[in-house]
Amino acid sequence: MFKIRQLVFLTFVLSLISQLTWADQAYIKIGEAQGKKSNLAFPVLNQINTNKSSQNVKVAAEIHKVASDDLDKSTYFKLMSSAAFLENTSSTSIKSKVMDPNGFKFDTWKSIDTDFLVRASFSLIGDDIAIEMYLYQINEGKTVIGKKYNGKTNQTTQIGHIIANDILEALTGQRGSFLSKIIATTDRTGHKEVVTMNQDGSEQNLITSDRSVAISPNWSPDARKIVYSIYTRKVGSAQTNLTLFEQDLNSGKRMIVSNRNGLNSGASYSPDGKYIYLTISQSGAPDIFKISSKGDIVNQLTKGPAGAMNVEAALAKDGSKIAFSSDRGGKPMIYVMNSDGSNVKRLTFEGKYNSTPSWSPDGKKIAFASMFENYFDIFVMDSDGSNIKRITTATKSNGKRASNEDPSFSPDGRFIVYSSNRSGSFQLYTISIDGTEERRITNDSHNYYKPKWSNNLE
Amino acid sequence: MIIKVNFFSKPELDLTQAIRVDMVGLPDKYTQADIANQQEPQPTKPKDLPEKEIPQEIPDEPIKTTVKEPKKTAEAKPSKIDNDSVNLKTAKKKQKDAFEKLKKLSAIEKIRQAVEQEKLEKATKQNQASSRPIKGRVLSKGTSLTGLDKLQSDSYLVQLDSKIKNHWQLPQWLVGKPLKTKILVKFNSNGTLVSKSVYQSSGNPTYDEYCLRAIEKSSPFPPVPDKFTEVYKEDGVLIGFPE
Repeated sequence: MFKIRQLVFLTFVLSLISQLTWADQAYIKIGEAQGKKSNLAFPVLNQINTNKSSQNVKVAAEIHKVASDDLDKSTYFKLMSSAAFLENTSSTSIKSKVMDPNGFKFDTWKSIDTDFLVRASFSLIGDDIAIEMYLYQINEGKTVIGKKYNGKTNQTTQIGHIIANDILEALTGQRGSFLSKIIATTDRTGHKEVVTMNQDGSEQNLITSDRSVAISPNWSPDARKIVYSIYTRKVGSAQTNLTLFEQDLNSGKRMIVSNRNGLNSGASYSPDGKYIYLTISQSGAPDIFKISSKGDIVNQLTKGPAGAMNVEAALAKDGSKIAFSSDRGGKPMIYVMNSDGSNVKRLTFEGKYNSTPSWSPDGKKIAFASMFENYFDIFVMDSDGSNIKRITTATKSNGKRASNEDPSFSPDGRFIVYSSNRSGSFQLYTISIDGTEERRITNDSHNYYKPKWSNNLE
Repeated sequence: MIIKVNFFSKPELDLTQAIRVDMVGLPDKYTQADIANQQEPQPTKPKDLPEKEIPQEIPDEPIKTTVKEPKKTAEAKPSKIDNDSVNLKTAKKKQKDAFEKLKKLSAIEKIRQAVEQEKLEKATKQNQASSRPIKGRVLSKGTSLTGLDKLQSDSYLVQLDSKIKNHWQLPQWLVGKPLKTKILVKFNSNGTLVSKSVYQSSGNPTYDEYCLRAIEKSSPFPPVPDKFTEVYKEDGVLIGFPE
């Protein structure tokens, strides 16, 4: 009864409001739609060569696998099983019947509830791959995109990722993160070294071999250079310093950027790559500084107050703002300030210990880790501190809560990489920002810490 | 979920009824024959109506009451034993009585409407038959609904809303985007679509397409209560995706 009364009242009020606009018209507001994974059919590539050698089939299959795995991981699609296909895709052309007498029929795909169809042809001459790819929207019977790709047989992975990114961009307006990389530290040598890998955890590459402790590595915007900090000792001194290095990944050359007394760590590049924001503790308390790539201090951005620590500067992609953690209010919490140090605002008030903020590429969200009893979980909030959501929760095999730490946004802003000890050691995982589609990307018994996702590298 | 129904209970409609002026057109010139034609059917209607409509409606009532009365007497016996249950049962009786009154009232309202509708139909048929539309004197039926009708219409729209909502799906990349489309749907009494059209586009053809698809997948709609069939077939229902 109450509901009916409420309804009548609402009806009355709303009718008054919009009487002029919708006079004499029954009107329903349906509300937000449910998101649905679109059914995607992606048959194997059609061989154009008359000579269908096993090498041809193998290379085509590699590319097909990379691209279809990517589309699956994008979480937008449900990849349809080829067993459900009603037509023999190797005998029909990759174009529709409208364009090609030997083409496929949209209705055939519509009848098995296909939303999108990817058709591609493949040819291999010598070492040269040529691919022609089309994306079709089945219900509307239209071609979304058509593209041609040329490459060598050692570029199959890259070609596959590019095809997937082109498909994603055509439909969603945004390229995927499939050609990005992740940097982290690992103890798999017995020491803590810097390691890079592809976004899916493949092709791991140890960067350092200092047999020391490397911490907080990060990417330059073009991912050609990296920064990291290592515990070092000056010759003839008993004191250890956390020294900031910059390393060129192509040449392997590295240089010391900042070796002031105490901490020189937690570095983050400006969007143009010319400046570095980091924590320096030469005057006692750790504070955030802006330095040139040569190491000269440009600006001290925080100063206490009263000896408080200000660390983990994370620069927004447009360079306008810095998120950081500070214990100036008692417990470590997430703060944000303009990149010149002005307009400091506290964003989080809950939790025992909030740390490691990371900006979404569009600057609308900030991810961070927050500690409860004795474990961390990953949270995402709007960049004004509102709308906080927990996106991880995991238990170890002994039933205790696992720790999920050090979040970093993917370049497309849809995923977060982080480190979790649920398997017994800290391994890297990715998760979509709504807390679904969690995937483990490292698979060993060593530890990986402080992952940072690079920009898209196409 | 917010349902907005604003074609009901408009004070202006009451006014037009009081003034009795058809705003659509001025009266035609009437001949004596026309007036005679108009007056003639009136005596015949009451004769027709009891045969057609009342037999359908009235049997419903006696059946209900006869079923309920025995129940009351059956309940009355144990009530002598327990004093507390007497109160309960009398309260229940009162409730039932009130409920029946309501039902009767609604039935009467239905009959009254049926009568009016028949009158109108006859009048329009006569007009068509004489191939001379008479303007001015005939009051249009209007779409003003009050009381029980309004609640019933609301509850129909709630059904419609939940049916469409079940089929309102988007690819994930379009969810939460600031896109708004309004679709106008018109449908028959059995709920089959007569037409669906984009009344106000979001500017994104793909999104509009998904809105139309939600309508398509939801049809046929639930059968329409008789008294609203005309409204939904002629004026239709405007559906906002998402608002």
